Amino acid sequence: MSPPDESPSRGTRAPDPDKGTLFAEQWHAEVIAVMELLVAGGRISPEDWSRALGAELDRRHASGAPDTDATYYEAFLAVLEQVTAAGRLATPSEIDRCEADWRAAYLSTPHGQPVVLKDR
Amino acid sequence: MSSHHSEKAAHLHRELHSHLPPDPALRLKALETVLVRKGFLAEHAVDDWLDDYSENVGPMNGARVIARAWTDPDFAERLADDSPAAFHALIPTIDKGYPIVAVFNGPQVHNLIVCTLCSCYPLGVLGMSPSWYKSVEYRARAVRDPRGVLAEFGTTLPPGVDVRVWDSTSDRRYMVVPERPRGTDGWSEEALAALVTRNSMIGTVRDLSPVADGS
Repeated sequence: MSPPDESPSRGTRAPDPDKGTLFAEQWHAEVIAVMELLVAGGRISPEDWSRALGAELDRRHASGAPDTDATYYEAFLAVLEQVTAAGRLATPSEIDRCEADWRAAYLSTPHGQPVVLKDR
Repeated sequence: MSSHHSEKAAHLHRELHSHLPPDPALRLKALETVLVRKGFLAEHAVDDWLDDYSENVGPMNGARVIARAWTDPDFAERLADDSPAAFHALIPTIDKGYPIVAVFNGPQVHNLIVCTLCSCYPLGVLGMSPSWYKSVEYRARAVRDPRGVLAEFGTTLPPGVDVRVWDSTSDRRYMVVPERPRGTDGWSEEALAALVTRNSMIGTVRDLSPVADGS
């Protein structure tokens, strides 16, 4: 399993496969963590979440997407963006800008050093 | 630029890009950063959640509870009446408000868990569901043809056994309590817990034996 970045705070925390809590990729665990935290914090209603995820999975299935974990987690992330936008927690343009900043940070950080965003 | 320099530059470019997370991981990182900056997530909340998940969550929790229920009739009754309280009593790291409901197999009853809407599962207690649980095929067929699904897992129900299919929701997530295997009188709770498999807690496996189902 590849860590998502070179920082020491992530990458060693993949759940223990022996406990039956397998994630194929680290970000799969992280996207679930973000959703669970937003639900637990009352930022997302669990009913809205289930309905939106179900609709997105149905939509992808109807459009011929393969019935795989990859499709599932891509749908999961897409729905997380939808519900955070609908709840005015994070707009697509905010995420776009931040994604570009992270990309630039990765590309300008020498291998082996922590990747950090510059202060804004 | 000489060809040597251009090869070097291309190599450097590839080297740099190789450290980039895959696109969805980068997108999620950006979303998480925005949520933290705006105060909707605490700065280390995701790391803390992953730590807790890694240390405290997994099928072993259900197995412990089931083994206790097999050996302690009062606990079994409590588990049936108020599953979250029973879980919390045995495993304090589990929130006493966690929306879990234990359903018990019996000689004439077999329980099977599904989420027809999306993928609801007691993740905070038993860990992530298996891939097949989230698949469109399982979600569609578990209700329509439970015996067919069970047969594909190698589970053939004896005649006269009814199948009850429980449709999980965001506020009601089920766990099957399988029957205690014969020949385990006098076993310790720890030894009994080792017999309980994840699939048996979903209900795709009915009979437990000292040989795990390997899934």
